[in-house]
Amino acid sequence: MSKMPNLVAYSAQLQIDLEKELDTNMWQRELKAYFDSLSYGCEEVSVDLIGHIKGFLSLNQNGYGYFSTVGAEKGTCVKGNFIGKTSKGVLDFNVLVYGSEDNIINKMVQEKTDNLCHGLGGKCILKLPSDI
Amino acid sequence: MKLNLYAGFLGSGKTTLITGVARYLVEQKGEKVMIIVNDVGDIGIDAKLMKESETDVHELFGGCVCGQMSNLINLLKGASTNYMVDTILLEASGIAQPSNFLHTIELFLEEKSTLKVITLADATRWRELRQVVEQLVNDQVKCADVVLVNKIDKVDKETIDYVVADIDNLKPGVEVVTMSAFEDKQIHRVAEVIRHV
Repeated sequence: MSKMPNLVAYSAQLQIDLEKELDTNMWQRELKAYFDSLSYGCEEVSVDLIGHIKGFLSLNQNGYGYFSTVGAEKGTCVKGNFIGKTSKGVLDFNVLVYGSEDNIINKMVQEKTDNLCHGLGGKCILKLPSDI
Repeated sequence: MKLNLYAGFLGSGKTTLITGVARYLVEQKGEKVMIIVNDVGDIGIDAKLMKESETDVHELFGGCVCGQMSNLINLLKGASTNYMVDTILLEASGIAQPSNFLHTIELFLEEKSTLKVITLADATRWRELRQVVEQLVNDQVKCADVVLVNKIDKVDKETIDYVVADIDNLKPGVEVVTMSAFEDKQIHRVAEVIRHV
């Protein structure tokens, strides 16, 4: 039986404060694209296996979204309840992969998050569990 | 009290299934249900989703239930004595090997309680998982009372047949059910299968 590769369990919270209110369906679309980019990012840094990349987006009275992917070619599954417009959201998420290193996944997530925030326009704060 | 342990690799659909089964048991069967979730990351995601369905959810942190055994036993004891729960749905983390903690749970279960292990197998990447995390998925299947081959809507019949045969080879005679946890009708069917295993 082959030896299992090591597991990297990355967790973070992304606090998003946009300059303008955005329709929550657009939040859903942007976050889905973000999760797609994270799974592609994992493949770009050659992990052995994506365990699970998943997140919960809280939009307070404007609803919530659950995002989940297990591979770039499989896409990101989204479910939730998206209501109206808002400028504020908090995303808690995990990137669980086999066969990589913490610093590689940290760097990859930071890059993809920078791209998301640049596209959204506004202030984003990425916090690790120790800072929450 | 019934304790149903849901095992299965990361991303196999445990959270979606448990949320659906809980809703079915509460709304269709009038049962009192408690969910216990053991997530891998330092920030729990699954429990946040489950809480949206207004179910009684408890979180155990750390990658394996085996490291949270005293907290789990306390929850199990409280479920039967304080809350009069009919069914507990325990979601093991996707990296948990049930053989590491099943025996301990059995020791602390009350006499009239029943324990069933339900393992989910992800049909879309079963071959890959059997190569990369073989020991883990083998253990999850070998401990199962019933194996649910999930996401069959995303693969062809040949793949489904392969996964079912492979599971039967790993644990001959185990009940294997194919399903898609995104369809309510199928969740209800599976919930009934689990009740009668």
